[in-house]
This record gives sequence, structure tokens and C-alpha cells, in this order.
Amino acid sequence: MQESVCRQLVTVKMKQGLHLRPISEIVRIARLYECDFKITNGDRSGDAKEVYDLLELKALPKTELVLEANGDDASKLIEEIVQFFESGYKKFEEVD
Amino acid sequence: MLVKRGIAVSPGVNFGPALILGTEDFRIPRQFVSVNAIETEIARLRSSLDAVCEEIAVNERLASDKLGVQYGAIFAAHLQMVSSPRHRDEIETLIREKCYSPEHASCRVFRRYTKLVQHLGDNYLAERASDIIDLEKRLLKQLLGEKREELSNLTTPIIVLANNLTPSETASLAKDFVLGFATEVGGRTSHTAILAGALEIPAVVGLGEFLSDISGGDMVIVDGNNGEVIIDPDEETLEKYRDTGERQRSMAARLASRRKIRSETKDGTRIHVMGNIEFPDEVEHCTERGADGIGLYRTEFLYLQSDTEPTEQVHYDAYCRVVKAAQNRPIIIRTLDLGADKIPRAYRYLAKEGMNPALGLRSVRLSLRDLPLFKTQLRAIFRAAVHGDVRIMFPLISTLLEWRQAKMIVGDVLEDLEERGVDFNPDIPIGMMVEVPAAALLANEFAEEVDFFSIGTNDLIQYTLAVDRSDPAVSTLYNSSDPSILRLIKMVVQAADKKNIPVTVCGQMSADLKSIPLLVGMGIRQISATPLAIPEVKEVIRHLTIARAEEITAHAMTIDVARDVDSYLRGELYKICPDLFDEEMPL
Repeated sequence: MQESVCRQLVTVKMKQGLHLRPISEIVRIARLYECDFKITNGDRSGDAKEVYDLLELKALPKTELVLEANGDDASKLIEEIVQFFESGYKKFEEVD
Repeated sequence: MLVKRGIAVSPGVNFGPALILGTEDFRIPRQFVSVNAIETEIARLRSSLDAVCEEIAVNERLASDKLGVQYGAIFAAHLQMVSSPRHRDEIETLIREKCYSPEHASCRVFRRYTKLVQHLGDNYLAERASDIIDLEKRLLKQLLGEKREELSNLTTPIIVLANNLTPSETASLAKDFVLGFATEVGGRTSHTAILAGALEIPAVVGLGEFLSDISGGDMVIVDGNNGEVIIDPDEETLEKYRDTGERQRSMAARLASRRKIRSETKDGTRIHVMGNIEFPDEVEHCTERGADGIGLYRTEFLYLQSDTEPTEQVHYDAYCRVVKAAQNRPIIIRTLDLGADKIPRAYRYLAKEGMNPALGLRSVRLSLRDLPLFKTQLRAIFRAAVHGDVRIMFPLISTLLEWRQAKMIVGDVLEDLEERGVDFNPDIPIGMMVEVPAAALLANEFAEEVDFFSIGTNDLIQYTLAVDRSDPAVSTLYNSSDPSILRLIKMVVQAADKKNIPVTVCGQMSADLKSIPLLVGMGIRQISATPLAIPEVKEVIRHLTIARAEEITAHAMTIDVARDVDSYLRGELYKICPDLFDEEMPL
């Protein structure tokens, strides 16, 4: 079994930062994968499969986050999450 | 046994089992489970968690279908929180290792997360804390099933503990069963203090963090005389407090029997003792104790009751109830005196975040900024004044310009009422509170324009000594006997005497018995105190002669530190009416 670590930098584009709704989607996606998945904001780092951890990142708009997945399906997960940070999040913004 | 010190805001002593409000919306009956029951209890936890997950899943589907995926996502997040294995493990570990009941263990875990989220520092995220509290409630509801005891339907007396009471929380309480209040934050004018005062039950606030040291059902003593809360007291302590409670009740009964006697000094000088109230119902608490009127009717509750601005009719109805209950005795209505900390949702936009609320837009400053709000209240007061002896005072006046502005608005309001053709009384006394040192220093100038002064000692002390009385780190500096305070009061009384206008003292100082001879000696002839204190204040007055009071004041004014003034006044009070104290009663 091959071990693979995958890292990627993303920027928070959500109007209200990384709040409950996008967090919920990230956690949903992350939990579909086997690999460990961690997100880091400066000196704060959290398990991306846990809502509380992501809330604690305090990721405000324009923050840069480091995604780091470790495991077989890591690169596929990162791909999906990056896509979410690029545009997928829009579905979860306020409708106003 | 654990003793916590805080600020005593409502006198009396009571003890009973603790109820922790906010996190517990109902009582958690037991804290521990027996070792043998652990596996069964864990099974119970799991099935409750599953049930909660199902509940949320239903909500998620409903929200997604009806409102859109962005709404469903909130419930999805809730579901993810509750179903997280880590979260489950944490609760189960507490049950296994500490023998906590599932209710208690869940409470602990949820509470820790709530705290984490609250301290995130970002407002939007911090608001998510209420989501977590909601989840906790859902789970507790599942766990407790039919066993839970709703707050509105308590059957046993309890001591209410909270971080801070909010109006909505207290609204649902079955008040007959509340023996006392104790809160982590808050000062003498906090909601808890006001409510406890109105209900006449002991309360201590500003205790600092202590809720994590206590669980629902623990025995707690609230000592509203000395500002102490004793958690899990030993038998000896409990016995001592049983005695104190007994003595207080007999003293109250004795004083109540003398309530109809006029409040005058031994040598026949009439001193009007009035009551401070918050709710119309409290007028009776005052009159049944022989009050000469309402010296301070705080109107903030009208604004705090709901998130919408009270209408003129709401104001009018409340004022009319007070007028009717007061039976021709004078009533001094204070216009809105909300601090930024108490500003209800509707006005929050006016308060800047992170500024210093005590020095910010509050009280009459807020009224002068929000004219529709101010005028609505004024119109109702002038209309209610048709039915009795109603007077108005403006709080926190700091400059003559503010006073004149407020008076100008009164003029506008009177014109409006005239045009509307409704019944109103335009000729009522209009005064101001003196609670900012600037106002006391300019008392001579103000005395030319106002109909009366009312000295609000609480704020006057806070602003003069630059001390937040709710901050335990500096609250010892807060002292009504400070020579600076005595001099300011004296200045106001002298200015009023020159113009022959009345001065009332309201605020905590007027319920502090040792200050009564001092105030009378300064020339104060009207005192307004919390209803509970009225009988004792009158009792002190009846033991006093003006000559003696003046001597006490003259001497007190020569002392240069608050502590020495305090002990001098305490000694004098004891000499004047020793029968108010029996040996063990704290002075």
C-alpha cells in the first residue's frame, strides 16, 4: 500500500469566512475519504473531519489555508476540496 | 465546601439545591451513576444520540427541500457535530472513568465546546455557540425523556445559578420556587440584581467563574448580605445560616408592624422615604412598607422585555398602573437609562463595538440621539401625569447643553400632544439625576434651571473614583463613604438649598443604614431606597435628631479616607439604634 502526502494552498473566498455552512460541506466530503485530512491556518491546525476543529481555525475572508491529506486517496480528496474552495462554496452562500 | 465572594445585590440568606440556568433548561436529576450501571447508561447515551441524529436529519431534509441546500447545510453541520466519533468518545470516557451520568457527561462536553466557540473572537463564528447549546438541549431532552422538569413547572425550590441572567431566561422561571440567584458576571445594576431586588430574594453577582465547579443539585447557600455563595456547605455552616434566616424573618416582622408610623426625626423633621422600583407591581412592596412615594421608577424593563421598541401605549399603560397603585403619592419617572451593555437588539447599531460602554452612548445621550424613542416615552409620561403626582428626571446629564436640549424636546412633545388634542398634564416637575461629577461641580448653574435634583450615587461613585463596581479586581475602591463623594453630594445639596429645590438621594447608598445619619446631616430630606430597606431606613430616621446628624456629618467630613469614614459611621449607627442589631448580625 502506497503512502502519499498531498499539500495544497487555498484562499478563503466565502463572504463570511469559513463558517458553519461551508464547514459542513468540507466535513461531508472529508468523511467520504479514508485518508487523514488536516487544515492549517497560521498556527492553528485542525482535523478537517471535525466541525469544531474547523470552527476553531477562525478562517476569515481572504485567509490562506494549507490543506494536507495523508493516505491512499489523498490526492483525489485534495482535488475535490480545492474545487470547493474555488467555486463549489458558492452554492452555500447566503441567497441575498 | 467552597466559598465564592461576589457583590451582594439583594439582601437576605437562603439555601437549596442548585439549578444551572442557560445550559440546563430543565433540571438534571443526578450527577453520578453506579459502576454497575455504566454499560447500560452508555447504551442509553448511544440511543439518545442516534435519536438526536435522526431528528436533525429530518430537519436537514426539510430545510434543504423547502429552503435550499445552503439552509440544510446548517443542520448538516449539527449532525456532523453530534455524530462525530470523537465527540461520542469524549462523553463515553467521562461516563466510564468518572461515573458521570450521561446527562452530566454530555453537559460537560457540550459546555466545553460552547466555551471554545464563544472565545473565537469573531462575532459571526461566536454566535454559533448558540447552535451548540441547542444541540445540548436536544440531547438532554432525549436522555431525560419524561423525567425532565421544565423551568416553568418546577415543583421544588431551587437556587438559580447562571453566567448571567437574560430577560428571556428569567421570563420562563416559576418564580415562586426560586430561593436565590448567583451569577458569574454582572454588577449592582445588572439584570439579575434588578430582578432579585424586585422579587425580594437574595442574590450575589460578579462571582467570577464558578459554574464549572458545581453541578445541578448541589447544595448552595446564597448570602445576599455579605456577598457570598457557599457551595456544598458543611453541616455547621448550614446550621449557622438557618439561624440567620430565622432572625431576619423576625426582624422584618417587627419592623413591618411599625410601617405606618411617619418617617420623621426625633425632633420632628419630616424625612421622606421613598422606594426605587422597576416594575409596576413593586409599588405595593413600597406602600406596604410605608413609603412616601416612588423616588425612582426605572423604565428600562419596558425596553428589555422585547426586541421591538415599546409603543406609547405600552409606556402609558405601565405608568398608569404605577400611578394608580401609588394612590396620590409622588412618582419620579426616570427616562431611559440603558447602558450599552443592556441595549436591546433594536438599538445595537448605535453602540460601537469595543468602545468603553460606561463612557459611551448610553442613557440620556441615547435618548437625545434617538428622538422618536425619547419622544414616545415623554408623551406617555405627560399623559399619565393627568392621573397623579408624576415627575420626570433625566439620567446621566453631564452638561448644561444636554439638559437644555432635553428640555427643548419636552417642549416639542408638549406641542405635539396639544395638537393631538389628548389629555395631558404639561405642568409637572422636571429634574435631573446628578451622577456625573461634572454635573455635581456645576450644581449651582443647573440649580437655576431644574425643578429638582436626584443624586444617583452608584454612577457618581463609579465616575468619580473611576472604578467599575462589577470588576472584582478593583471593586474595593468603590465606596460611597469616600471623602470625594461626600464633598460632591454636599455641593449638590448646597446648590439646591440656595434655590430652594428638593434633592433626593437614590442608589445603593440610601439603603446603606450607616449613611442615613450622614445624608440627613448634610441636609437631605428625601431618600429613595430599594423597597426592602425602607422599614430599616425609617427606623434609623426615627432614632435621629437633626443636631446629632449634623454633628456626625461635620465630623465625617473631616476624615480623609473612606475606610475611616466607614468605621466611624458604623460606630455612630450602632450608638443611634443598637436594637437594629443583635450581637451576631453583621453591621
